[in-house]
Amino acid sequence: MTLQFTLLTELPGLLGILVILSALYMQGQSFVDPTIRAISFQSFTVAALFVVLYLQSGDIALVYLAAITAVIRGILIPGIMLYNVRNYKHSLRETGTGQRIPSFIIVGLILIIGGYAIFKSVLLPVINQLASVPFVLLLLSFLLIFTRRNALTQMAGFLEEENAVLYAGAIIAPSISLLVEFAIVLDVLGVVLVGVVLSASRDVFMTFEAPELEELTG
Amino acid sequence: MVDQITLQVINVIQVGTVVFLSPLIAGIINRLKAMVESKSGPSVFQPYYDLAKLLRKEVVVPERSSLFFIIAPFVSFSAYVVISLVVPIVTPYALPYGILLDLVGGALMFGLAGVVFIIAAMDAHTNYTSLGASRSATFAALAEPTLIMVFFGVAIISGTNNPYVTNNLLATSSSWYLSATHILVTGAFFMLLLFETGRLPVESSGLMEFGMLDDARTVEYSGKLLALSKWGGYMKQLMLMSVFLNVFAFPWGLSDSVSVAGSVYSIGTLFFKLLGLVGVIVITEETFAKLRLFKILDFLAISFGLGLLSIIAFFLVGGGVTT
Repeated sequence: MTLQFTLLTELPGLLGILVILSALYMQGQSFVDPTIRAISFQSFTVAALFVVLYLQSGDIALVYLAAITAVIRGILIPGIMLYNVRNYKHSLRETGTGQRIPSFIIVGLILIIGGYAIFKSVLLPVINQLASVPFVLLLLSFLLIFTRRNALTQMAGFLEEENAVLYAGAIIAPSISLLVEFAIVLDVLGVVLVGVVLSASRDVFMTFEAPELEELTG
Repeated sequence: MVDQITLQVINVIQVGTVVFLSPLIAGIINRLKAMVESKSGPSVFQPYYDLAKLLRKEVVVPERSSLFFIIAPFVSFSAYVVISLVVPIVTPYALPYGILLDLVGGALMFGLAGVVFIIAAMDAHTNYTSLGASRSATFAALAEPTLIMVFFGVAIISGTNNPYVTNNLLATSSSWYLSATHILVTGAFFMLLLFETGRLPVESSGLMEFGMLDDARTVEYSGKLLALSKWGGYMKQLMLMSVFLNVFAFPWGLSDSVSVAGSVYSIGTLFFKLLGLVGVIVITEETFAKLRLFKILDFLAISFGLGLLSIIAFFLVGGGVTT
């Protein structure tokens, strides 16, 4: 077994674990700025994974997917989000999150173990074991969205969810070019969400905290 | 049939390496740190001079301490010598006493050496050593879960807790070496190595501050007893570094040939590997600021998290393929 071959077979696993680590890192942040940078890093990792999968399978759709992931979810959307927080990036902190961070991480770890147990009993008989990483990542992104109140962090959760879905798609069905179109649709949704809704909520309501947005403010 | 006499000679070489090379490694670390800080620093042989000086000095014992205070350094020194018989330092194959202890057994011997010092520190009946003893016991207890997770990780990789088997497997299987399980276990063990050897960001060794953990236990020792406890500390550092290199990070370079020449060759390669690790440790020490005392918990929690993830990683993405 040559080293190059070993690298190609082990890299998807290593990058997958890096993605999980970045998801846990995001779960452990109460400031918004590092969360956005982490989602950018995660998107680049997923893009690198698509490139590795392309080298293994030779399917050109994966290269498009990698390019979309890196440009839109790695640079563009995090860029817009960072632009939104540019004036108060060292102070924009989610209210009341600090105390709950350790429990979030523990819940995240439990979710990984529980998620894998579900994956093993339900999905493993029919699909590749590597798909367990995006499955767990999907659960972690849900956790990030529903434990947080800040709209920007929830947006980062949305991007993580999208990473997970496309990651799973690329592993389960690498030759479907429809996946690229799904990626574009979801990204357009993401850009609209982040570009319009967040900017509007910042300008009109002067806050990113979701419960504050529920009240009508005149 | 391997010659038993040769094996015993290699045994002596291995113990001799640990006993006599360890102060040099400590000296190199200190010298390198000073050089990075633009100071000239002490000679790399300074730990030998210190030990020689201390061994000539008389012993002063606290008035209210018992005999245990005096025998503790001997017990811990002996424990380190026993460990040096059973861990892979200059050979990739098990020496005659290698079957006595696996990694868990080695950890228990390290634990014994630590516990006798904690009891001795309490036995000195002074506030400061008792404070240091309770502190080091508290944090050592928190480091144990990481250690257990690392053992689980090793057990997953090689199916056993024997360090020689792990060394052999990792040296021959690049797929296990590159697996997420192995890389995360190595990261967790490196953090544990920094903690156990009293390196920054966890602790800066020396007697200048109240944040110290290990050194607070030995402040009442003097003369020959202090020399033994210091020497034991150097040996612990060298053995942990060797285990980190030979079992986890860099399992190559040890000579397979069961001969005196082979083990002498291995000492050379081990020395260069140690120099590389010393470089990494010095960079780590000079880059990070000292953590506040209660932040050590976070440091250990992260290393535990890496250990736990290494096991989860095995199930998520699978391990290497044994070839």
